[in-house]
Amino acid sequence: MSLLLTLINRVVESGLIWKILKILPIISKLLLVISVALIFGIVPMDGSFRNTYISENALMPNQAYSQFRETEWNIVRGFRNEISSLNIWNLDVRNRIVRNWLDDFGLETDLYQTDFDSPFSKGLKSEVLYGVLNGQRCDGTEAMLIAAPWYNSENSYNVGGVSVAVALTKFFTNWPVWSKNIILVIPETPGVDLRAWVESYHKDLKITGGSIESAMILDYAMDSDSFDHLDVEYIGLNGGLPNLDMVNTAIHVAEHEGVKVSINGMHSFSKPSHEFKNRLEHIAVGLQKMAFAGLEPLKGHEAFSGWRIQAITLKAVGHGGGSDITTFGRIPEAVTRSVNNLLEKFHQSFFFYLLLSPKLFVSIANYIPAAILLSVAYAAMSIHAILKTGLLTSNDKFIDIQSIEAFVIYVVTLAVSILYRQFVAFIQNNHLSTQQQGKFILILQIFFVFTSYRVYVPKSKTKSLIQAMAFMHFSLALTLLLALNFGLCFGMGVLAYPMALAVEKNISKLKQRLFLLISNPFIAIFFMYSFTQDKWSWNLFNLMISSWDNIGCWTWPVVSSSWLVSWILVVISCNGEDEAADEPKKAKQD
Amino acid sequence: MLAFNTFIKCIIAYILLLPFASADISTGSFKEKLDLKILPKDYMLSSFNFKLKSDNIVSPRTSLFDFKKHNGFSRSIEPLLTKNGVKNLYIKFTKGHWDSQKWGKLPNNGWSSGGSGVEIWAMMEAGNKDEVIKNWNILMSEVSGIFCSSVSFINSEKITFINDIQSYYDVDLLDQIPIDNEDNELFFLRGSLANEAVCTENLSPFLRILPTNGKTGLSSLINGNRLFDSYWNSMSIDVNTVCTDDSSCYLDTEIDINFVVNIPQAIARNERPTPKPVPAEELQCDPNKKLTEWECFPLLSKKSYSFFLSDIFGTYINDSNRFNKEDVSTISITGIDDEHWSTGIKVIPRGVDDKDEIEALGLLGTSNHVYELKEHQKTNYDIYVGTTDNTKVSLNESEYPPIYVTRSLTGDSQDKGVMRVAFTNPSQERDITIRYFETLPWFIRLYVSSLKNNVKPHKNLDVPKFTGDVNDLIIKTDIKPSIIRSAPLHMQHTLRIPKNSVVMMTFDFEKPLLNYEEYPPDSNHGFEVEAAVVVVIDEDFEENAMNGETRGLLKSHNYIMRTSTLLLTLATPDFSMPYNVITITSTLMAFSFGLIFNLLTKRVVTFEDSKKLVTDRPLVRLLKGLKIKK
Repeated sequence: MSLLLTLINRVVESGLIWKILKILPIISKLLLVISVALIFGIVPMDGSFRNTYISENALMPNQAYSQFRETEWNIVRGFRNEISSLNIWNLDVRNRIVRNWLDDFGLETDLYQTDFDSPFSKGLKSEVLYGVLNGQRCDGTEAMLIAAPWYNSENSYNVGGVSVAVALTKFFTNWPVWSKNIILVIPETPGVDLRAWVESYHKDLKITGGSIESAMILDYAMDSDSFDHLDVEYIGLNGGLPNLDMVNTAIHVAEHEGVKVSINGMHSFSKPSHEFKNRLEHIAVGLQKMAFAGLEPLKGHEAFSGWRIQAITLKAVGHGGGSDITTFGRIPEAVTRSVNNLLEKFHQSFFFYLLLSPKLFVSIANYIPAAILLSVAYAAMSIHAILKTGLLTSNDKFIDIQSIEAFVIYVVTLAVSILYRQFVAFIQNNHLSTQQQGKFILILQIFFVFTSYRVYVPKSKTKSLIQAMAFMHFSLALTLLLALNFGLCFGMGVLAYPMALAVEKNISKLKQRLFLLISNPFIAIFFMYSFTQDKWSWNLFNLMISSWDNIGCWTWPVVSSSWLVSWILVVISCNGEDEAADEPKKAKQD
Repeated sequence: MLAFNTFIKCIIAYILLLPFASADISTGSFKEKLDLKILPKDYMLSSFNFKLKSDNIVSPRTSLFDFKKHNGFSRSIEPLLTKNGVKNLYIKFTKGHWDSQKWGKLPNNGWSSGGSGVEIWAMMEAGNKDEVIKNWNILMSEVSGIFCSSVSFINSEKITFINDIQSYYDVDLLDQIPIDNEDNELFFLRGSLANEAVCTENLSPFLRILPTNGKTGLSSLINGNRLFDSYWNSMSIDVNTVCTDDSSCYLDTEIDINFVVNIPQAIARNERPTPKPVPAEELQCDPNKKLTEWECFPLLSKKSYSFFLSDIFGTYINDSNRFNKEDVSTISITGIDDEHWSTGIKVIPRGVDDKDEIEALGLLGTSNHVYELKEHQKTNYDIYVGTTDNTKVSLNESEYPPIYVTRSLTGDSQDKGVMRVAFTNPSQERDITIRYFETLPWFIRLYVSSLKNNVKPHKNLDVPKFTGDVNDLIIKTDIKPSIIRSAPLHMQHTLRIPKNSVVMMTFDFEKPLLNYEEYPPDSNHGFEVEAAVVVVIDEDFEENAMNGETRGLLKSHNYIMRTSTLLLTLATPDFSMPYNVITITSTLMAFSFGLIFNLLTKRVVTFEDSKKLVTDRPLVRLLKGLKIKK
């Protein structure tokens, strides 16, 4: 104790705290650098990741011989011929024909009509075919789901996927082992209509089969007998990931079948995991997918986020490779049989992880510090701004006209940001094309940055208070988000950082405006998104709002209630008068 | 030595008494029959029915076996009843999902099956409720011993006293039940256990109760492998005490064993125990679709096949019931038409074991598809069923269930949930009245006041829609609130379901946190919630029954069914957590203790004083002294 006391005494004596407080902006920058280095430097480094393993003993993937082979091949082809010729028909005709088959297999089937009515998806009507196969050893409390959309995320006719799903269901009817019901779902697309079906399943769907434990979306959008490799997509909405055991089981099974496996569409099989670069690439893409989940074309598994359903998409890529279509079917077969073994729900393995290759992972404890450091970086900026007000050190009254002004601005900004959605909807109602709308919103941001000082210039104390509130708001928002959606939190934290650079002392006006521009949520997200998609995506903002309306993807509300608020506040504060230069110094002398 | 002597004495006494006993004409009887019902989509329901009647008990007080030789009635039943004041006892083991959309009504109007798991009803005589519960607990431990099940878990947390007995029991038969003590009352109780894994060890006791012991007669067909490899199976035993007058009472026992198999699958299972893909030459392809050596669109719908009962059960019927001279064992096949279906019986004389020889034996058919096993010498029997078009099976109008019920839990949060029950009346002609009998465990804290009703049309037909006030549909409600950790919530709603409509009831409930030791071993599985009972009541009949105008016809008028069980997920702790919690709490406590202790014992001085004080310390002075000396 004495040692600690001595230490504290020394610290007090030397005035270290004041020194630290003075260099807060530098510390903040340092934290950012450490945070980024942690994710892109330390985490992919040898020693911080582990090999994946099956944690739940009951799963036992591949312990039994998969039977979806031999004559089942003929049957898959038989169905494929029929399904292939159904392409010319409308959805309802296709659904009715397939429904007849499913009825004949003994499934309990129904058609679910989806009907959206939101300003961003008017009159989107669709029909989802689904059927429940009552497991012979099941009392109807649990279910496993297999879905095959008619058209996949790239809008190509999913002939192989639907054929395998139908043939597999028929094959499953001969098995006496099912201790969970099996649900087959055939939506038109893997997007909103599947999501609407899942929502209805948990509300008022006519036929239900118990709580869904796992879901697999089959995507084999080609006519060919063989495919090159399997792509496993697993990143769900709002940072939701399936239990690592589920992903592992699928990858394990596929590799056992001799299929080349890739995750997140990265051709992982051609990128040896012992190379640092490849692991880094996997992390970067994983984070990007996590941040943009719900904005990129929906693969299907996203529809199940939020209901404790472990969902993955299995996508066959490439014509005429080494694996054939029944091999593709054996993967869901083996996974279904593994999940069927479970007595308890998936709970053994990790729910928060990053994959560095199909068989390497880091758990949350290794990467979450990066997000914590980021939010501390913003908190440091906020403390720095508070010090600038001099409220802590001088005996001035805290509540005066300037601080009230700051609070009013904060509240107004918050309201404006949250109502931004209405604003976007208003633009949309004015018959602008989505491209024009996107451009209009971006121009508006630039306009705001360069003209807002003409409207309102805050006094120095107000300015500092606004700044403090802006950074604290953002820091708290990041802290709330960091465990829930690490990708979005990390992405926002890094992209918004120029905001902190813009408030520095003695910065040129032009540089400041430039920093403000690139840290604008709309501009930053737009450029980042366009960069990852490799095309200008002007419809991004409509997409963000419609995905919040239709599939419950948080990105819009999160961005508009945290980043946008802070950004507007920072812009206003940057318009402010310069403070009396050395107020903190004076305070110290006091 | 003493024991041996007693044993010899007993034997001598027994031999001496034997002639007298057998002079007493036994009034006991044993009847058996098997009903095979072909259901749509190639399913077959096998219903075994065994009726056992005991000899007369001279007075209800005396035990049945005091003076008579074994007459075929199982000895284990009678002490079970008399010791605990049980008059009637119904035990039902059920597993699986009865697909009423496809298969229609439950066998025997639903009276011979229970909810998934095990369900027990008992009519008990006792002075008060406490006594009943005490007796019930003893009864349950005995039943769990006899039937090798965990029914002893059905304790006061799970049992319900039944109010509207007339819907569940023939009230006009009440006067047949002997009351031992005039001050006592009769109580009707029900309890169930959803997570009971019904298996072979539950079946064996059933077969033991039969005088044929599962070795001869129809019961020789029943084996655990087949019975539990089915889509739905149920075993039930109903024991009733019946007194025709004051002096003669007997125990009437009925055992029903029902199960549903899929015929082609069951046959295929014999050929290929693991469901491997069929060999290429056995593929049934649709000739109208593209058909090549590597493409095959499976033949849907119409198929022809034939099978022997031995293909499905794996054994022949071994001999017939010789226990009851007046009665023969019968097998009837129902649900089929004569045009597309044919049946027959094969009588396999004793000594014929060769497979080819058996195959060469002829078949005997009857026009009504009813077969009696009545050969005089010991013989094996087998039943043939064949069809030319398997789609020609349909349910009669009367075989469709009067109601479909789905019950489910919705809502995903860890602290709240919604229970939803939908009753569908598919009939286009008439409204029905039902009793919805729900017993929920105490850890579903249901808000009865949150009940919401709504009515939707079942099918879009010309039938006029229901227009009245939804709340008028509830005719009567009985609620007994739950008591935490000791009694379940019991509610019974009497509802009217308008024709062609779906009445949906929703309740909100709260999920509490349980105590550490209240979680079951597989806590992440979730908690199984027992099935609810729904009775479609025939109101006219019930009125007449109260007036005593009918005799024991309740089961043909009221249709009883169970909903599926539910799986409730409660917030489940990580069970390694207590260790972490203990460490963190201990650390915090040590920390705060240290802080307070410091505050209480230490002096607060200024920074400068503290420096001076530090230099005055004995140890520092000593060190200084040492330094100076050097």
